Amino acid sequence: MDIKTEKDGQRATVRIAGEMTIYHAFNLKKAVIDSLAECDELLLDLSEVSEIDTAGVQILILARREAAGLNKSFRVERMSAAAEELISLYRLKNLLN
Amino acid sequence: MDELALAKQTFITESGEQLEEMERSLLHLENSPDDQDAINSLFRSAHTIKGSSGVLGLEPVEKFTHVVENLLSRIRDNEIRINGGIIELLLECRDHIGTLIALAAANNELTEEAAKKDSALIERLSLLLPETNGAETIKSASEESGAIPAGKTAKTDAWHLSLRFSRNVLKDGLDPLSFINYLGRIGEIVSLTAIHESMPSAEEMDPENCYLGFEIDLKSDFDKKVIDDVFEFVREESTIHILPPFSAVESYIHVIESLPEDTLLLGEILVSGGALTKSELEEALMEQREAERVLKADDAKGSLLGEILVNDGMVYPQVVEAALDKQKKNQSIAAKEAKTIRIDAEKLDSLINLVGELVIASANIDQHAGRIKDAGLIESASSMLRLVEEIRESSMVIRMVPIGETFSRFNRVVRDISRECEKDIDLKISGGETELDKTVVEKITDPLMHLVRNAADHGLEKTEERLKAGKSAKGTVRLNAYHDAGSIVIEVIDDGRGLNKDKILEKGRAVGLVTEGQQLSDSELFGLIFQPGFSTADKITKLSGRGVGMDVVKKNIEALRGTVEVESREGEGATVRIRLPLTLAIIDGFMVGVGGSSYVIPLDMVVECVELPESEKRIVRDRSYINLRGEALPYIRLRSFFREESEKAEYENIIIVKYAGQKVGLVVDELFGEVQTVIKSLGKIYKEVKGISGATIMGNGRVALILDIPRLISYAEEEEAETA
Repeated sequence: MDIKTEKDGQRATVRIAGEMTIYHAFNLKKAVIDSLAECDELLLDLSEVSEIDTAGVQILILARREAAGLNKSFRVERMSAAAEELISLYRLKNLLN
Repeated sequence: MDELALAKQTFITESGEQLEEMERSLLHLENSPDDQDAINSLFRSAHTIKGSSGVLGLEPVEKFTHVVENLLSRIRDNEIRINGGIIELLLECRDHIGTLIALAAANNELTEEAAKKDSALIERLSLLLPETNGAETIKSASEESGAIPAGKTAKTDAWHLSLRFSRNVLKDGLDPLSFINYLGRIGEIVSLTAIHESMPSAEEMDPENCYLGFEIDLKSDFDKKVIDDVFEFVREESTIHILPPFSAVESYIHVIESLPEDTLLLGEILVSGGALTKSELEEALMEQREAERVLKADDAKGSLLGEILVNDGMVYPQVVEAALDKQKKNQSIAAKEAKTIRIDAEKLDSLINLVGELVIASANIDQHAGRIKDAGLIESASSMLRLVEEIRESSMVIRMVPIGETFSRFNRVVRDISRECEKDIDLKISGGETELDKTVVEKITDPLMHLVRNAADHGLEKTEERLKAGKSAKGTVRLNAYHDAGSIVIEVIDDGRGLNKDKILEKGRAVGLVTEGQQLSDSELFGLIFQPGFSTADKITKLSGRGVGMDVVKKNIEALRGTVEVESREGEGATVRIRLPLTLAIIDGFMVGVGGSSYVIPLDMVVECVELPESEKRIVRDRSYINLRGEALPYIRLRSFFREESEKAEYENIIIVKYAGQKVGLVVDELFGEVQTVIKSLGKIYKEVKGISGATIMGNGRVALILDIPRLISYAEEEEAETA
């Protein structure tokens, strides 16, 4: 699992590749929360996510909630097929975009 | 042990605990039949046993427990009210499950008796269960779905599922997505809402916890059982509500009220999912509040409910109140999680053995260090000795369990006896927090069982007799435990008719244990009842009176290096007092030398050491007691008792020991001081040797014998009686 963060002014783009699962949940949380703390806008690129589980989805929900609380912007920009499948199953597309 | 056998072993241990829990719950429900917690716990236990036995392929257990679980499920859903007859039936079922598990453990086929019992119980259970086979019809679906009599039914033809997975579900290796995917395969998910209200702020959020709940509407042709079974493995820890299509509107309200999230929020979700229409929801909420208001008419709260204000935003004060109440409830019900760990008993035993060896080895080092007289070494050795002492004490404590757990098992015993003997018996327990070694606890249960049965069966009189004698109608059996001078004392006390001295004396003579004209003290007389074949019962009841019990009780207690005695007052009751040593493995002792041999006396029985005074030395041969500060003290010369042949020492010392209130002096040659030793048993050959309870290996590698003080004392008493 790989996390790459790119900063462009006040916007952070976090690219997650590989398994977005419970095994990496702590790292995922940290990356997301740190980025939200440092920037005003957080974009998530999930196009290279090979596998995702409920723990992974929870990180997305956490990001949405935290961003709202901090009055910052957050959205999921791109999704791999795997990511889209679970996010659709959970009917979370609206929440995350 | 291969994995399957290991799993089976775990199942048997855990099922034992589940069965105990079931019994506790059932006995509790006898007095408080409406306790929902007890009912839930009962269901959970049965469900766990059913599930695990199924996984292990133990069919008889699974099949039978499944039927029991069905009944418990109805009781849990308030469709059947629990009563005395049902509890009686469930107790029998519980016992039968235990039998089935025992048979499965021994890999035995069902015995004829067990099979008969199985069908008999299933028949009785079925009489209580309504028809449940086949696919749900529309009518039975709505009947089954709620405790509240169906008023209006919802018009949806979809199942509504409310899933709230436990926090730990992800850590347990399960994922809600598998369940939901599976639902999608057995039907069509018409609507799904993921609920994440319980997710805390980022600081507190544990990414490995599960904070998601789901409200799902599912169109499916499968019946309730199939849908139920989807959640088999998470049922216990999670909250799963399944409402069949066309359920009573009130059932939906009932469910959303029981969920933690805001009622209005949930109501909205139901409406958007199509389970209810908006008007159905509003109407139902309003009716519910009305009903509650009527019930609480006297309550101050009730008058508040009278002020219903309907705003556009649809905010009913009482709904808001209910939502607030719910929030308060959810905040920190920080369940005190008892942090325990399960250990293999054998591993614990070998650990304690090693600790014992460590004790000896460090004592060695300490001795050698003293001889070499190197200051640094002496200090190191002594701090090591201190640490080893701490380890030893800690390891001893690990094996201690409170006796209260054993005592509470007797609630069932006394209850059953009460019924069988048609007496009104109360069991009182005190000193349950008294701790003793785990192995001792296991071995003392059977003797205690027998003593309690005895007290209830023979000791306590029937109600009329008691009333005639001016006693209370209820007889009391009391179990008491406490520590006393390094021993644990367990008492079985009853307030019945007490022991009949004349009858015992008569029987004693009849059996030849007592000769004509022989005088016996009270304790000796009562001691007769422990002789094999001795029973003064007029009738042999189902429980006792066959005369095979009490001697076995005494033997079992003595095997634990304990003693038992009886006290009684005719017409008032009897007390059986058992004394057991606190630890079986390592003891603190006082080492003495007699002749060329070393002996160890348990330290907690040592009162003092005195040098044998010159004046007494001369007279001592003609008497069997000495004068110690005005007290007559019987004594034993260990030298002659153990027939030491070596030359007599010039100085002799007396160690005064005490046990059960009696003092004896032991005349020895040398005093060596305090030691900590590991008790090694002597084996069968030496079991009959009087006065020795074990052996130990000293620092120098030689063997010292551990004195059995209680028996030495009784020996001294006998001697005194003879020469008196």
